[in-house]
Parts: sequence; C-alpha cells; structure tokens
Amino acid sequence: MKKKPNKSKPAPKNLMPPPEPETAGTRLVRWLVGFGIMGAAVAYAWMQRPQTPPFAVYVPRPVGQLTFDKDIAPIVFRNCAECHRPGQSAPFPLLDYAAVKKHAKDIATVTADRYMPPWLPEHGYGNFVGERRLSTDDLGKIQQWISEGAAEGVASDLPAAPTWPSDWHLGEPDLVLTMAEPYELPAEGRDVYRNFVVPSTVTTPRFVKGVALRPGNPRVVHHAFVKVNSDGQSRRLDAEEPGPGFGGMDSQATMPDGQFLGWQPGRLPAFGPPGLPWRLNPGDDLVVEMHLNPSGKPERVQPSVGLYFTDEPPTNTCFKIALTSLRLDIPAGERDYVVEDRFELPTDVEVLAVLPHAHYLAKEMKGWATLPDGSKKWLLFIKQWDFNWQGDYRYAVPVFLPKGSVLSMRYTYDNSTQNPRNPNHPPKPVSYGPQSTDEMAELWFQLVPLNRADLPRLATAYETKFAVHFRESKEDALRKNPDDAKARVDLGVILLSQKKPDEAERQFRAAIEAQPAYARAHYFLGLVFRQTNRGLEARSEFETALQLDPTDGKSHGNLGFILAEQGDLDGAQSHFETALRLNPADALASDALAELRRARSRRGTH
Amino acid sequence: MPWLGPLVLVAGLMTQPGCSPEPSAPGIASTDASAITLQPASLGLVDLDGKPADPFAAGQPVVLFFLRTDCPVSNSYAPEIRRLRDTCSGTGIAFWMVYPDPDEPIADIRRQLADYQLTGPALRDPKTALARLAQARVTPEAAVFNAAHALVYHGRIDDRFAAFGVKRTEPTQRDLAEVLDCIVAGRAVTNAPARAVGCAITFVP
Repeated sequence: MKKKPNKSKPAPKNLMPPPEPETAGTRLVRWLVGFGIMGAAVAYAWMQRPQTPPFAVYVPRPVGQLTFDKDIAPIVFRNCAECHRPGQSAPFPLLDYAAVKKHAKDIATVTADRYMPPWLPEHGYGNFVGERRLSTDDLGKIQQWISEGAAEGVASDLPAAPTWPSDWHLGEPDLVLTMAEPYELPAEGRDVYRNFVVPSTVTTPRFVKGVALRPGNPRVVHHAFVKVNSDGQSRRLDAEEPGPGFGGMDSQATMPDGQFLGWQPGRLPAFGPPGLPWRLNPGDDLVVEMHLNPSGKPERVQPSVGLYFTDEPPTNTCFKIALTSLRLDIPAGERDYVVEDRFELPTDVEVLAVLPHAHYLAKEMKGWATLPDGSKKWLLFIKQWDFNWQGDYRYAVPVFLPKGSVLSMRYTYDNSTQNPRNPNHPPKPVSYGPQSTDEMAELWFQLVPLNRADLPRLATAYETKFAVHFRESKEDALRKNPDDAKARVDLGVILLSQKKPDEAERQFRAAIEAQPAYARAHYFLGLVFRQTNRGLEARSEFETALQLDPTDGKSHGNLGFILAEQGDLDGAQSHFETALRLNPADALASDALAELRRARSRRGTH
Repeated sequence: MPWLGPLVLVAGLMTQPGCSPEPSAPGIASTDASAITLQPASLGLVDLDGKPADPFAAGQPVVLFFLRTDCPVSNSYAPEIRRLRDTCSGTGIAFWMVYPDPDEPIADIRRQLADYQLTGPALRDPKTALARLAQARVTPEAAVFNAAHALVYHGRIDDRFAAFGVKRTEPTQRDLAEVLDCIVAGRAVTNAPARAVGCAITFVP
C-alpha cells in the first residue's frame, strides 16, 4: 500500500510530480521547496514519472510585446472558438479582439483555474486525442497579456478566424434520426438526466463506423451518450413517464459492441476505431442519454443522431471492461472515501479508450496498469472530477498491455459539507445506485485483444470478475434487508448464470415468499423449472408472472415454448404473437413463430 | 423549498439572521460608512429607450440586480430574482435590473428580459457609475439601498454557486432574502457583503 498522501506538501502527494501551477510564478518555488524537503520522495517519483512530465515553466515575454493579433488569437482560435461561436454550447463567441477583450477578466480567471477549456485528465498521465488543455506556455501568455492590458496589435499579424464546414463535421450522414418531439427542460431546479428513445429506421442490419450527435440545444446539454436498446425496454420506460424520454441512468440500453459513443461540448466527432464498426439491427432503438442543466428559462431539447455506415464488417471485436465497486457505501461527512478495484488481463490487449464515471461526490480518479515486469503505466488521472464535464477519452496511440498486466483504479469521494457539489445538505450516507443522488465508481476501458481468438478468454475472465462484484453487492443488500426481493432475484440470476439452478431456485422462492406479487421472481422461477424439465410447474409460474404483469413479453415467449411442447399449438402461437407485439425485436419469438407457422402449414392446420 | 422568511417574521421572531435587533433609523446608514449623497443625474443612467432614469426617485428602499445577457450564471438566477421580487410585492421595495455593459445591444437586453420573464424596470449603466457606487464586481450581483439610500448590502444573491461551474443543488445561505426580511421588518441590516460568483463587470474608465 502506498504512503498516505501528505496534503500540505506538493511534492510527495501520491509520489507524483507536483500538479501544474495555479500561476506560473509559484510553480518553481513549490518545486524547489518540494525538492528541499522531500528529495528522496521526489527522486522516487521521477522513477515513476508519467510519460511526458508536465514540467514546463512559463518564461515571461518582454513587457508589452504580447498582442491579441500575434499571440493570443491563435490560442483562442485553437482552444476556445470551437464552442465559443454562434449556435454552439458556449454562452458568447470569442472570434475577435473586441469579444476577447470584453471577457478578459473572466478569461484570466477560468483559464488559471483550468475550468476552461474543460478537460479533466491531467496532462502526461495518458496521451489522449483532442486534448483540450492549454499548455503552460499558452496559459502564461494569456495571463501576461491580460495583466498588461490586453493590447490588440496589428491586423497584419492576425490569422484568419477558423471556419467550420457544416453542422455535421464528418460530412452528411448516411442516416439522420431525430427525436419526434422536443423535451421541455424546466427553467430551474436540479440537473436533469434524461434518456430519449429515437427509433432506428434501418431495414437491414448495418455496420456503423461513425456516430455524430446534434444535441438540439447545445447551451443546456452538458454531455450525452448514444446507446442502443434491442428489447423494447427503453421504449417501455419512455411510455411510463409523461413527456418525451425518461429519467435516471438505468435505461436498459447499452453502448453497442464495446463502443464508447459519447458527446461533449467542444469535442469534434470522429469515426470509430478503424476496422471496428458496430452492428445496428432493424428494430433497434437508439437511446440518447443526456445530462441537461437548466438555464434560467424553459428550454427545448430535440437531439438528432447522424449515422455513418460502412459495408466492411469488423476485423476484430471491441471489448469493454469496467473496474468498479457495487458496494459503495459512503458515510455522511466522510471526506476521503476510497474505492479500489483491479483486474488481471488474461491476454495481450490494446487499450483504445477510457471512460471514467461517478456522480457528485467523487473527487480524485486514478487508473493505471501494472505490467508483469512491475512497471507502472498511467492510463488516467483526474484531480478533481466534475460530473458536468464527463466523457470518454481516446488514446492517441493504443496502449499495449501484455498478458498478466493488472488494471487498477483508485477513486476518492468527499461526502462532507466541504464538497459544494454534494447533493445532500446536510450530508447523508450515499450508496451505489443509478440516480445522480446515488453514487457510482466506474472506470471503463475499451480494449481489443491482440489476437481475436483470445476474446472468449477475456470475456470469461471478465464475467467471472463481474459476477463476484454483483454477487457481493447483492449479499450486502440481503444482509441489510433479508426481505429485499429484488436483491434475491438478482442473486438468483447470477447463480443461474453460474449453472447453480438449485441455489437459484432457493433465492427465487425466498423472493416470492417475501413479495408474493413480484412478477420477476415468478418469471425466473419459471425459467429454473423450464431448465430442469419441470414443464407444468414452469407453466404455472409464467402464468402467474403474466397475471401480475401482462406486458412481460419473455413470459409469453416461454409459455409459447411450453405450450408447443405440450402440443397446444394455438396457445403457443398466440403467446409468441403477443411476445412479438410487445417486443418486435424478440428474435427468439419471431423465429419460433415462423417455425410454428411452417410446421402448421405443412400439416395443413393453418 | 419555498422561501418563508417574511412569514417567520410575521410570526414574531425578531432575531432574523443578519438583522440588528434595533429598528433601523431612517436617514442613517446602518453598515456602510461610505453612504453617499446620491446625485442620480451624474450617474448617467438611462432606461431602455435611452431616457434618463433614476431608481432612487421614489424615496423607497431599492434593490439592484446587476445582470448581463451573455452570462450563464446571471441568466440562471432569473427565476430566483422573480421569486424574491414577487415575495416583496406590496412592501414598497423597488427592484431594478441594471445592465452595466455599455456595448450590450438594446435588442439583446429586451430579448433577455422577455425570454427570462424579468418584468419590471430595467436600466443601463453605460458609465458603470452605478456599479461603482453599489460596489458590484460581477453579474449577477445584488445591491440594496435603504429608504435613506445608504448602501446596506451588496454581494451575492445566495451561495448556490461556489465557483464557476461548481453549483450546489440548493443554496445553503440566502443572503439577499435575509436582507430583504430585515428591510420588510424595518430592522437594520447587518449582513456583511458576501462575494458573488459570476462574470466580471468591466468598468468604464
């Protein structure tokens, strides 16, 4: 275990080179002090320093020589203008001298704080595409220029203002899908986390090489993820809530085929990794998860998704791994709650991208790999997490990790009043959960196995790891409340997936005892019975499940199979048809129905 | 959570935070020694039609909200500004929106007032003289003058912003609401100026 960080001295903190300076002047002093006091620790830190140490110090320019036209415009055009232009997410444009001069005081503040440009990862702890972070030199120039009165300069020095091709950076998409009606965001109140279902219109399976999102109202959209749902669950959740979309972060939808499909203000859309398109099937729904910030007046949000297709099938398979804890339980007032997790890679991989996720209590996030030779490779370091600016980060060069490397995460959380983002005042205990007032601890990695044939090994190792997480968290929940029927069913589902039907059956029965009208428990008990060839008992459970929840398409599907086995073809057909009506993407039901109709037409019964 | 300050006062609780237990003495500046004899004509204030404006003309307590059209922090306070003003309706306190950026187009100001439903009097402060007088630094920021036109409070409306981009779910300190409670109750304001978070006002030299 590493030494506990000492907050008062910069150098030894986490045995890392010190943070970038608040101002250029204080930096060198802090460094020298650090060397004097903690020379040994610093020397050790250097041995473990990140690939590109953030060591540059701003060298002030001669007084009065920095001008907007010559020195500042290029920095602003490169780092700010993408958002600070009409129609984009920023509140005002920064495309000419007058605008920059008018906002000079705020620019000095927000750049020194590193609030702008918004970019959470520390420089040098992973080399990412599109790093929106001012270099020490650029930051120093901005600060010096403003402190000297922000001179304009001579027009002949001014570079041309950047231009942007169209709203679709990647060109006209092959298919644009727009949400049917806009969502009305209230003028004020908590941030809104909402999922919008956008049905896809593809009629044949397509490989998607790129996704671009037009958020529809960039001023209020802080980040978005595009996900896919194939079983109609998201649509159902949408229907249960008034207005477009539904709330929370548990949308039943997932980012497909190991992809990260994120949108953040200022991030240029890009095609996915070469050779790794994902498959969009007919009947799939796109689900756009959006984090919206009220602006002070009612706002309308109506996202569009642009899809770019390719005929080339993938040459490898992306795989996502989450380091996580489902057992988060942060006491009220705790300032330094630590979550750690690790995973040993059973194969050689390349890491393509990383996606950290937590809510309002997380502060520091670290991700790294320990290679079999003991060396440490940084994959991500965020000093101050900000839920508002979350997103995924793609490595400029895929990071090779040999078999036996261990991926590690370490997050810390502040559940005290010292954390102004704390949604609870006064603080209260916060545990794992999907609402933004719950907490999460996830560090996702997008990987490809170096050898495609290794994928099953990777998948099995990860599933085993995840089952342990899941099982532990459910056992925690049941220790707290033995009558937690949902936790019992969840635990049973894991046991069932681990081919332990007897143990699973006990959990499902206990869930029904605790909550007799719990449709999901009856459904899974029915499934155990089906798997263990107890057709009559299975039928009774599925029928009970349907009495409790007539919209449960899977119970209809299972009943269809049982009735078909029992020779009741009319009944079977009716259940398959209902299953398919409830979920048009239910391939099992549609195959079974087709099979049944063929069989019946051969026999001339229909 | 609804703002219940005035009700609490009506119920007879006399030690509202920030208020002196002593009644305020009209004509005497309660906290700010630099109380100035106002000469509104010299401030160069104009209404949205360009005509001279004087928020102090009626001799009543005055609350100023310094705003700008392109500051998201400022905009996000529109509902709270409306709420505070509505809560004080009938108390004789005058509320003014003040735009201290001389370059802001009138059309943008009018559009903002309409979009954010900020009804009520608005004025421009093209010399930033009123902002200086009110010791405002950023938008949004509040300044409160008592009936004798002494500056009794200036600073944040509440503490929902801890810094740029760092926002509490709910404010834990409602500075301006407390000050208004004091004024409505006829008590002297003792709230210290509380630093506001927002977009810097650029002062006209």
